[in-house]
Amino acid sequence: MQSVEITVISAENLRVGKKPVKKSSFVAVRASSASECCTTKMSAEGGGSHPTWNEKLAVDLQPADLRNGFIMVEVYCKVTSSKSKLVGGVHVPVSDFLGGFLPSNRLQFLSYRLWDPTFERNGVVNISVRVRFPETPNGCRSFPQAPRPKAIVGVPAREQERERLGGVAVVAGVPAVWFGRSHCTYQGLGF
Amino acid sequence: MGGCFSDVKGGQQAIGGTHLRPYGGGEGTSTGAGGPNDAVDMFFRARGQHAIHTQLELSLSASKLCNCDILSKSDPMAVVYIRRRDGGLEELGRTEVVLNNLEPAWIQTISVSYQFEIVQNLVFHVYDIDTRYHNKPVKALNLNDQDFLGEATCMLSEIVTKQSRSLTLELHNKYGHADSRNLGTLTIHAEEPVALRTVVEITFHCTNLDNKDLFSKSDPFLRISRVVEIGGSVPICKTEVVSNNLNPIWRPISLNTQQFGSKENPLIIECFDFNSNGSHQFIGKLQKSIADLENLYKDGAGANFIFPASSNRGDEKVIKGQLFVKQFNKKQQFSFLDYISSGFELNFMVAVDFTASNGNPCNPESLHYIDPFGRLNSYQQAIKEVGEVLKFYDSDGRFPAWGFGARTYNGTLSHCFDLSPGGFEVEGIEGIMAAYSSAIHNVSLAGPTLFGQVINRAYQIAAQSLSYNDSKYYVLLIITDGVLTDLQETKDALVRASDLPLSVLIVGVGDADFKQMEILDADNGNQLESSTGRMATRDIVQFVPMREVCGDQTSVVQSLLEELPGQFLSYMRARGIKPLSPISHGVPVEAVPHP
Repeated sequence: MQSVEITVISAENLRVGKKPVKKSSFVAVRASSASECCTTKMSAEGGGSHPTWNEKLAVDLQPADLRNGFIMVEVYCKVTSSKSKLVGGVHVPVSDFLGGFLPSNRLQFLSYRLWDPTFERNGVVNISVRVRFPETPNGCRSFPQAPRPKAIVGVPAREQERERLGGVAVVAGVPAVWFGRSHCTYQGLGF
Repeated sequence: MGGCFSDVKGGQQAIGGTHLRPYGGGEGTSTGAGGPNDAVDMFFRARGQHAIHTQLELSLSASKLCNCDILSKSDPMAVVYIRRRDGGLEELGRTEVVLNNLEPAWIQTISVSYQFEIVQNLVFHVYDIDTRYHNKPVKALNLNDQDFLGEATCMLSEIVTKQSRSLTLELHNKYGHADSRNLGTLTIHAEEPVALRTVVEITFHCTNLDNKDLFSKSDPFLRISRVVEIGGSVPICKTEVVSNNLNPIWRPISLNTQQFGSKENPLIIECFDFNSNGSHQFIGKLQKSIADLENLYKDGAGANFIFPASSNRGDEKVIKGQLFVKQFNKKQQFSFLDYISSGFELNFMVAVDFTASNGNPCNPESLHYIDPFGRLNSYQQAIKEVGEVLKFYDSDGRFPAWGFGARTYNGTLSHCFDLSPGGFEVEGIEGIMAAYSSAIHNVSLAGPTLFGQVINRAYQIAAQSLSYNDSKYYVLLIITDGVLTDLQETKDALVRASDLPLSVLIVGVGDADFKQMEILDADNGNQLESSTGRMATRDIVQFVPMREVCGDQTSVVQSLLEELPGQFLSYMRARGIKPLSPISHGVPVEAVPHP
């Protein structure tokens, strides 16, 4: 299981029908395999169609999510005191923030187009994501197995990096064409 | 941006004090560093203040000057010039005369405006001022009458990239020849006014504003002006319009010291009802300094707006509408030069278009034609001029250089190959030029024009550098003649790269239709969107067609590089990355950007 910290920052240009959202809104977030979601508080009055939350939510990703999953982000706005309505949602692919060449504990800013229930484009939601690594007993961080849709060409992990990680396979441990020395391309190793 | 208020959307945007958008994709209405602020920039320019150009103070000192007086020591004075593009010298200022001293440290500083996008060549002359001129003001001295003690030249960027912001130069004689005599050295230190770094971020909130509209409520916005000493006021920022609301809360605005003057300087805050025809209806105004606003925030108190006295209505009237300060934050904001001089680097990368649409390189009509007499083609010009500016900000002087859209040495079609057979990096700008001209003869031009692979390669380099270093920012220059075949892949790659320390400069050469490039350069406020609906978190592309400004080639590079410091800062500020401190060298402090 992999824990991910999602900060719901803000949204822009939220609309219901053709009109800009006026009342407060909130965001619900869940992993693709989970049935329950966690939500932010209601945005402050007056935020209207450009609400801000700056609220951290923790989402746990199951192995199924890591393979080909996504995180659901949905924005709801208040209709009456007890009722709320879906403004728009988006599926954030796990591969957008896990894997690839980025250092895996890096804070990443991500913005997405929202789609409303009738599949029309709506506003934009801004989030930031940081992947949390559980400490393993010998002090090494364990690395998640990110989805690999296609063969990846990478560079050799630097030696000290390898050591620091205690020999754990590094995601980008493949020789690369662009180092000039070796002009060969390897298929992505079976991670 | 002449017709700023002619479109309603543009008119409703916040201008001036609203921050560089640190995150967030977004549509036209989000305020950014780009579009809407052009008006403010124009405003500053019109008054001779370059809002984006930093004013630097140069202080000079010299050592081991040669002695021209017989009975006493030399009486030195320094004069600073900037070399114009035509080669002529323009005087920036003179120091005072220091009497009888061969080791002078001049007190009078010379101010110079630092412009990132051009190479600023400074020339320093040191003179011995004859005793009989000593009671004359320095400005009035005829330099031809004085003894010349030496000359030194350097680029302004050489000084600002130094950790100490100081540079010591050997003095030589007027013709640049190494003199047998030792003429001593000159040390230049550049300082940026500290006051500019303080920024206050204020969230305003109003209650009970008057209703000015007939069928709906008012659409209020605030305009803030600074009262100037000579009388009158200068507008410094306005908030966005909150429509149909008599108790609006605006998005935070941030003001720096350059804008509000001092904490005690009175500011006029006016509230208007937005009208799309441009005649905004005045609701009320009040006068408060930054210190007053801070007090309002601390006390949670409101201040009433005043409707001033007018000819038809005698007295000024206190209206029921009130202004509150919902949030007040003082922040330190670092400048581009703070980062650069503390050791941050801009790393330059180049990718050259080798598609067949450029024409056969042997043919003088071809865009890739290498002139035997050394006249540079458009590709060479772009590499040289952008490189000449950026090389000062890259400490190792090794630049990755790629080509795309050609069959390489071994006959395979490649959309990202190394220009030099010796590896992806080459030595210096000359190295890029040499690798380019040899590649022209060694590859066969093909197609189509794809940017995706080149941008992804730059992405990999930038991403990998992050695992051990936060102090590098990458600049990829793509020079192309044509229409993109992979617009969507390019967009996807750019959206992915927008979260990395990377900017992409695109120069279009030739006469092709560059409409697509304008889409990539999201200056019109439409953020790039990938095929999966992910949005760029910031603008990282700048596109300039070479032909637009054929007459004066400098402006191509200038307009290309102009946005770069802003893009650099938007990245650093959004992530809360601070300049390297002198102690913990090499380990930038990463603050938590969001509460």
